[in-house]
Amino acid sequence: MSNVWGDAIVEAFRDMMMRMALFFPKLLALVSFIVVGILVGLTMKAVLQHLLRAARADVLSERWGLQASLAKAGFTQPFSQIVGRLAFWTVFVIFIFMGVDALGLPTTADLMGQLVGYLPSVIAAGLLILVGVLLGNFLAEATLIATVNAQIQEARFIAGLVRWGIFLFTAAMVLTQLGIAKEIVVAAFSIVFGGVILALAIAVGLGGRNIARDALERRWRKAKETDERDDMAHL
Amino acid sequence: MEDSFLPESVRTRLEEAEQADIVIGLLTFNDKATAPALARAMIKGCARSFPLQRLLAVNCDAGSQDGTAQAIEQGIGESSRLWTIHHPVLSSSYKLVSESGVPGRESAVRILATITDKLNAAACLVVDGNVKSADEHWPELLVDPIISKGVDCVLPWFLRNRYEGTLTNTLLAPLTAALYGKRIPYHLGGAYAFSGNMIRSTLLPQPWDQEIARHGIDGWVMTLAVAESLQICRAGLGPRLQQAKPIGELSALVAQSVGCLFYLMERYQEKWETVKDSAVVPTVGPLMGVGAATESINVERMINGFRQGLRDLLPVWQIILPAETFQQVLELGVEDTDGFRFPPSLWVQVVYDFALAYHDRLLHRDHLLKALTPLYLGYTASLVLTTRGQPVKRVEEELERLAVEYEIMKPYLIQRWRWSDE
Repeated sequence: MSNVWGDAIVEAFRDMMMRMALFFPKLLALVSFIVVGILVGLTMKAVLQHLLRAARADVLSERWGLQASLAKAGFTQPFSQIVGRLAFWTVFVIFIFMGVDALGLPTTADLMGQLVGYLPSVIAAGLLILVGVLLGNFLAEATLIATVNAQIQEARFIAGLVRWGIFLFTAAMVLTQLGIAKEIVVAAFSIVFGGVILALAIAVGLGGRNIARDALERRWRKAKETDERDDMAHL
Repeated sequence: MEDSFLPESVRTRLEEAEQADIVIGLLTFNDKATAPALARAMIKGCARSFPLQRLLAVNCDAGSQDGTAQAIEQGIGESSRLWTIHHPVLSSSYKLVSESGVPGRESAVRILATITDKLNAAACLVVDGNVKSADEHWPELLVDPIISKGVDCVLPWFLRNRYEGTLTNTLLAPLTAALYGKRIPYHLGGAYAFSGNMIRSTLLPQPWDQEIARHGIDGWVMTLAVAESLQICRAGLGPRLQQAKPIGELSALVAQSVGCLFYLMERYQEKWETVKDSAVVPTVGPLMGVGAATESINVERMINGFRQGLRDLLPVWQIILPAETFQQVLELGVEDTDGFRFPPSLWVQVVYDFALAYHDRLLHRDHLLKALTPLYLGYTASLVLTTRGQPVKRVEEELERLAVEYEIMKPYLIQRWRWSDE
C-alpha cells in the first residue's frame, strides 16, 4: 500500500518535473522573445526616425498638410516619431506572438501563422485609414476655403460633405480589406451612398430651385452680374 | 551656362546672330489688336532715343491663334530685326493670373534674358502685347537709365485711380518697402527693363524651377531687384490701358502674389532682417500720383466676404494667427456695415502673422495664402469706408500711414521669425 502511494507521488513529481523541464525552456523563449522584441523594436524605431528625419519627412508632412491633419486626429507628435512608435509596437507585438507560439499551447497553436497571414490586410487597412483621414481633412479644408472665398453660404456644409464622404468611402474600403462582412459592407455602402446622392438630387431639385435660377440668371443676364460685381483691380 | 531650355530655332539663330545693344521683348498671346502698333512704337522709340545702338526685337508668343506674330511681322516691315519665338508653356503656368494674360511668361522672360546675355546686349526691354497706352516715349523712360546711368532695373510706375490696385497698395508695396528698404510702386507687368549686368548676376542664375512659374515672373523679378544690391529706379509711364483686363479668382491672385513675397522672404532673411527704414527709389519721367476717378466698388460684397470668413474660417485662422491677433480679429465684428473699421495696425499684424505661419508651415501653403482673402477684403472695405467721399489726398495719407505701420511693426516680425528658427 505504502509502495503504491510512494510510487504515485514519485510518478506525479517526476511528471511534474518533466513537464516543467519541457515548459521552462519555452517560458524562457517567451521572455527572450519579449526582450529581443523590445530591443529590435527600439532599434527599428531609432533607425526609422533617423531615416525619416534625414529625408525631411517632418518638413514634408507639414508642407503637405499631413501634420495638421494628424494633429486634428489627436497625434501632436512629429510625423517621424509617430511612424517610429508605430514601428516599435508592430515589431513588439510580432515578437510577443512568436513567444506565445513558442509556448506550444494548444489554444494558441498556429497563432503566428494566422497572424502573419492576416498581417498584410491589417497593414493595408491601417494605411487606408491614414490616407483616408488625411485626404478627407485636406480636401475638406481646401473646399471650405474655396467656397468661403466664392462666398457660398453653405461652405461648412459642403466641406463637411466632402470630409464625411471620403471617411465613409474609406471605412467601406477598410472593412472590405479586412474581410469583415464584405457583402453587408458593400450593400450598406451602396445604400448609404445612393441615399446621399438621391438626397442631394432632391435637395438641389427642390430646395435649390432659387439658387439654380439665380445661377442661370447670372449666366445669361449679364446686367445682373455687373450689378453684383465691381470693377476693382486688386493688383 | 546651361541653355537646353532654349527652343532649337533660337539656338540656331544665336549661333549666326550679330550682336545687339538693346533687346526689345514683346510678350504676346492673341494680341493682334494691339501688338503690331505696340511693336512699331517700341522700335521707333528706341531708334529715336538710341540711334547708335543696334536693336533686336523679339516677339515671344505663347501660341496665338489669331495671327498675332504674322501681324507684328507685317506691321514693322523688313527694316527692323525681328525674331519670332514660340516659347514653351508649363501646365502650372496656365493657373497664373497675369496682367498680360500670356501663359508661360517666365519661359519668355528667361529666353529674352538669355538672348540679351548671348548677344552681349546692354539692356532688355520687356513689354506686354496687350498694352494700348504705350507710346514712343516708353523706351526712353525705361531703357535710358540703363544705357546712360548704369541702372540695373527700371520698374513701371503707372497712374492709377484711388482704389485701383488695393492688394498692391495695402500689402505688396508696403511690405516690400518695410522688408528691403526700397519704396517701389510694385506695379506688376506692363513694361520693365533690366540691364545685362542684372541678367548675368541675378536673373539667369535663378533656379528657374516650378516656384517661379507658380508665383509669376513679374513679382519675382521685382522682388529680386529690391532684395539684391542692384541699382533700381521707377519710370512714370502714365495710365496703363489694356486690351482686356486679367481674369482670375481673387484668392488665386492673393496666393500667387503674396506667396511670391513670402517665399522670397525665406531666401533673403539675412538681408531684410538688417534693414531699418525705407526710401523712395529714384524716378524717371513725370511723377504718378493717385487718379481721382472712383471705380464702381461693391463694399457690401467685400464685407460679406469678410463676414463669411469670420463665420466659417475661424478654425483655419485659429491655426494661423496667434491668440492675441485672433482675438482682435474676432472683436472686429460686422454688425454695423457703415461703421465697420479694420485698424491698419491689426492688418499689418495679420500680414506678419500669415508670413510667420507660412514660414513655420503651420498649414498647407496654398490653403494658408487663400485663407488671407477674406481678411484682405475686410481691410479693403474698411479703407474704402474710411476714405470714400473724401479727397484723393486722404487715400494717400491713409496708405502712407499703413506703410509706416509696416515699418514700426517690423521688429515683431523679426523677433518671432527668429524664435521659430531656434
